[in-house]
Amino acid sequence: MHPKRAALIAYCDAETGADRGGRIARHLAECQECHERLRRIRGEKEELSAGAAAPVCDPARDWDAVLAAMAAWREGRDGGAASELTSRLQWQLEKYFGAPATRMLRRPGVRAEELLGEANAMMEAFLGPQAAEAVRDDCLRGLVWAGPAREATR
Amino acid sequence: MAIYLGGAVRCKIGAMDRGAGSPPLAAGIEREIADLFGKEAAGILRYAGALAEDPETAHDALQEAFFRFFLCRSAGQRIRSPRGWLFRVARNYVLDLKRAGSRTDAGMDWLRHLPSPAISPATGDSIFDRLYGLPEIGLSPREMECIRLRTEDLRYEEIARVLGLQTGTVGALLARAHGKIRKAVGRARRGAQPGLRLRPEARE
Repeated sequence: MHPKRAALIAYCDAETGADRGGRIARHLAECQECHERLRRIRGEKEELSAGAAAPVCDPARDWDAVLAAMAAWREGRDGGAASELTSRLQWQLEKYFGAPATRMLRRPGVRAEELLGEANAMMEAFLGPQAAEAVRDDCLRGLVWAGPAREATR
Repeated sequence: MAIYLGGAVRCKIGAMDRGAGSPPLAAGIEREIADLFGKEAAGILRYAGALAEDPETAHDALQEAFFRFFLCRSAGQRIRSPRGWLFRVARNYVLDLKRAGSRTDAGMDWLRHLPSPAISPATGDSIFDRLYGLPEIGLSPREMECIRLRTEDLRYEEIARVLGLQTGTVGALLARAHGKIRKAVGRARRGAQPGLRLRPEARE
């Protein structure tokens, strides 16, 4: 029985497990038709990848911006982003776990990233990883990190 | 110490160890980020650029993804698949900006930015080079995104994570996309595809 197209594509992408891959390999050794189908799939993949490999633009300036933003964050030059993040996290924690849990986590002097880590751990434990990820994305969305440093790289 | 990243980005790790008070963990995270940036930045930028149709948004998405990665790692979060994670953040950033209304479906316009590969020296032509209008093939946005992410060498599991799908669905979408491309190429070669034409040089 010939493997389906999805199976051949997965085989081409090394996405089949050892057992299934072995079965497909044995079939390919005996079936010229499937061998040809696989050759076409590989050719298409290579053509698409060759096109995708063309550099769009140099990411070097982005690295400078990321470095600058990380340094600014560490030094507290975040333009209020840390405070905004803390506030958003607090709001989410209150929403899901109530004010007492929030007060327990929000100790005096706790840094925004510490609160993020603790909130994330709680969310993962009680809501599951996907929900925790969605909540975290909501908290981080639209925050402006060290804007001036970022602009300076342009 | 200078590190050459991906042949394109050169950064000085020494410059990242700002301040004698930087804890070793932070320096470790920044090295991890530098390494990841060297490996993944170009691909994320290409992907975000195609999705956003705007280079500045693509650069912003790339920076946002890496900065959020830094933040989450600094928060002690373990990220099992950093590459998939970064692509996902960049994608959501672009989609948020585009206000497409849906976080799972990109607009169709960006499909036109699928690069057209060079003519293959082995065969003398390229099936994709022959096509003017990839959107007319009838690929769904998800199929197109699967193809795009696959060309960036993401594993199926990573693609699934970026797009919020099951891993098995990725394989099915890729198979369906390949089928559509194959049919469209066949029709184009026969000149029978409405709205899908061969480039003049390919027709000759």
